[in-house]
Amino acid sequence: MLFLSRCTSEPEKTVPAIHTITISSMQFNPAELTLQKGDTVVFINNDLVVHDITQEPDKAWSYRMAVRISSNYYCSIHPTMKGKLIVQ
Amino acid sequence: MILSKTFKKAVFGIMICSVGFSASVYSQAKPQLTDPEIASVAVTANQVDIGNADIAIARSKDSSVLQFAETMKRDHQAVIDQAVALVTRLNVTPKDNAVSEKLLSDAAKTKKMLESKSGKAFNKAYIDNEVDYHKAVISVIETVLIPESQNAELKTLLQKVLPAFHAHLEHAEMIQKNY
Repeated sequence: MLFLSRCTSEPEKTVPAIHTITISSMQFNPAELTLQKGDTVVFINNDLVVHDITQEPDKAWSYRMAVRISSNYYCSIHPTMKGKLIVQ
Repeated sequence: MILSKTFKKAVFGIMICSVGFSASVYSQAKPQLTDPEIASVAVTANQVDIGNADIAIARSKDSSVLQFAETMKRDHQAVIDQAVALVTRLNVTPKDNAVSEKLLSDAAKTKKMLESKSGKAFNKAYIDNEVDYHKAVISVIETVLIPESQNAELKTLLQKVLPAFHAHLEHAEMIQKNY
């Protein structure tokens, strides 16, 4: 006798994506990024000078992190440099 | 303000001297700086702003001015380090010239002016000077140093540095609104 196990369908798990934002010519590229909750963002600095990433108003981010909510961010060292993450 | 206006005059004064006293004197001929001279101007321009930042760090108590000055020190030193690494690799010795020497002499006047002030008057004078200085240096980089540089790597470095100067100018103008 063959016993066939019942096939159960489980919801597909979405694999978080990894997005790269490069910093060059004193700009975040892309300046505005749309992504899914849980995706990872990696910031790569290609400039001659040091930058940081700060969520408004003043929460420091790391160069690689999972994103949960939409946020505006900037470089606190060069505060005219701004970017935005939009979580769908 | 003293530094930026006389710096521009120095650059254009060299233009006039280099073409002689003829009808073409009033043409838009550019100064003929060699790569060693361009390197000297580039390094000196950054050193001058580090000097200004040191004065601000010693004299200001305004957090936005202090943060700006720290950024100027850090960024301009990074540019100097890149420039020195490049000229060392290319075996080029930066050569003092009328423009770099004028930068230094004007920096001495600016230093004296800044050190005569304190409090809000100092902060205003420092930021006003930073706005004017960065405008003047941006203009010289765009119209003289980049077009005149012969070595491709030197030209590329100057092009790469330019956005930082623009960002510094925007930052200074942002602070200037408070004064």
